[in-house]
Amino acid sequence: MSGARGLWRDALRRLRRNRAAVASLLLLALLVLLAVAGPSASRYPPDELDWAMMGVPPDPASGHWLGTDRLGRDLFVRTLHGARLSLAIALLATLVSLTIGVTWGAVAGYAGGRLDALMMRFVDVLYALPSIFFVIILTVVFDRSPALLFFAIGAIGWLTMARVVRGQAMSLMHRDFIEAAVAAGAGPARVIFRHLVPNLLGTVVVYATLMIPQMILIESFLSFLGIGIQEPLASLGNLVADGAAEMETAPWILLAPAGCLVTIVFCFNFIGDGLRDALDPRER
Amino acid sequence: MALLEIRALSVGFETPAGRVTAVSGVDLEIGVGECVAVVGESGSGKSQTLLACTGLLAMNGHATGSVRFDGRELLGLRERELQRLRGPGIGYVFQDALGSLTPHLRVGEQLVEALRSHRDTDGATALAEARRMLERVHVPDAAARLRQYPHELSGGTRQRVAIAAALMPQPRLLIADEPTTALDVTVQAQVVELFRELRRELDMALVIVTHDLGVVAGLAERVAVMYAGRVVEQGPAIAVFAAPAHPYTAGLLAALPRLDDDTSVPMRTIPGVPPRPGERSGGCAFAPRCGRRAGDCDEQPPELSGSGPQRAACHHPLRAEAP
Repeated sequence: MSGARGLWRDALRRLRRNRAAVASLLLLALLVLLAVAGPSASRYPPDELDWAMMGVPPDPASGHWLGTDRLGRDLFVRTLHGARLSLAIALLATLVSLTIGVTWGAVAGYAGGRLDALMMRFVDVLYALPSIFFVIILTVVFDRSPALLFFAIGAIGWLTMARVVRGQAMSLMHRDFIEAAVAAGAGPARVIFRHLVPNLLGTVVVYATLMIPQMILIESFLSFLGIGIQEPLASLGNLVADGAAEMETAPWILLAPAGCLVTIVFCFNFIGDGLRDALDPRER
Repeated sequence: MALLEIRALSVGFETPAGRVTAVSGVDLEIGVGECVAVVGESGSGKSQTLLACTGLLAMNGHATGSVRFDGRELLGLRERELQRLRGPGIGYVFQDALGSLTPHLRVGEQLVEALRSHRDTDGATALAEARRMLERVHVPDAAARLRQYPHELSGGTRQRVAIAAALMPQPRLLIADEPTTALDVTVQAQVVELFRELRRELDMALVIVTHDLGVVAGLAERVAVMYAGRVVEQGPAIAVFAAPAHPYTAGLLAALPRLDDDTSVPMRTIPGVPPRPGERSGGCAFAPRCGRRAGDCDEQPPELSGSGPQRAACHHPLRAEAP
């Protein structure tokens, strides 16, 4: 619809004036580009062992820009591979959480009363289940795969999103413009998705950008436990876990993926901040 | 036949402290194309009376009685039916124009949105219609305004946009709830003038809900004065203003400040405060503040009575003594 397009176009225009956000966006774009195209451009495949080059520190001359790990695999390539997989899982999981959480929360907040109570008790019950067990059970029942992982993480993430959105929706429901929209004959779907949800987007976007690094951390935690991404596949999670074991003798094995992780987290935070300001038309 | 016919309408709210009655037994009629003012202090139930008509009460509110629009009973109507009625049937304009405009929607989108709930029109046609409507409510530079956000407009322009939004689906009845209260005095006058003009041009009935008798004078054909959830007096505006029958109406009129008032004399007010909804007694609700109170005032609530179009709910109306 034209309204949604206008909102985003304006937001983009305002976002462009925010230097930190623009820099973060560029850096993140560069990282994503590297993660997607970089590994194939390198002469080292991510899973090839080099017996002559085990645990070599960063050295541009050898072509191992970020060194190699204990098995002689090129860390630059592995970090980019890990970043690609971690980002993909985090983005998809956030998207899943966002879609379910926003819809669930907005409907509950709009409806109020009994339906709201019912929907939120359902969230409470799921909250009460230990989420890590839930993911472990899922990974045991089904085959382990990155696809299952993002689904499982997303299935947990939407609970908090639903609560946040529902709270926001409830406070917005008392605002006059909702009453005015209802008084003008707008139906529930129109009120929710045209008047309510776009007003929530600022909060949702900020929350989502905080969720992405959180999702990366959950993924790494699961990988560390051995139920996430499995070797020889690399994710930032299992790379950091690998590096942590060697941090006293070969710190670069930790620093390469950890630096990448920190950079990604920082970028998302700055972008989230910038988006929040950009999406609120009253703050200029 | 009246366009809107309210009979014995009562509105109550379930609160943690028990049931609170905001409106009790209101009768009101609005004819086709007629302009009626509903006047009263805050808390007199005037807004709730009109919100109840299209089922816009808060979730804990409940309305009984009968509301007929164009002969069709509205109370108890299904939500989907009410939705269809809100807008093309009965439109609303609220007091706080900035608050009642959706903040992230540009003026153009806002107006198109008001239409889209009821009609499938393509964007260009709807936008052209929005622009015509803005011009009709005298928003200067309408084409540029379409692209602005509500917070970028002045108070008067916002209220004009809100009125335009309500007019988009061409309502047969427009209910304006304190439409001028939040505005500067000069802007108030312009908005009142706009309503007067719209009434002339559009075939639309208008209900103005206000506490400000000055707004009503010269605009409304009929006035209904509400006090403590009841209509205490109603009749032709000219008659009610010239010779109020209910002591409360007389008090309101006497309390209006005038430019030629002697400023050394304190402003006339009605002593006391209106009863809170839970505290209404069995007798006339105005009795504790009334200078004409007599024994029977505390015993039985007065009914609307009187011969002719002007009727007052008072045991001792002002006109009775002057033959």
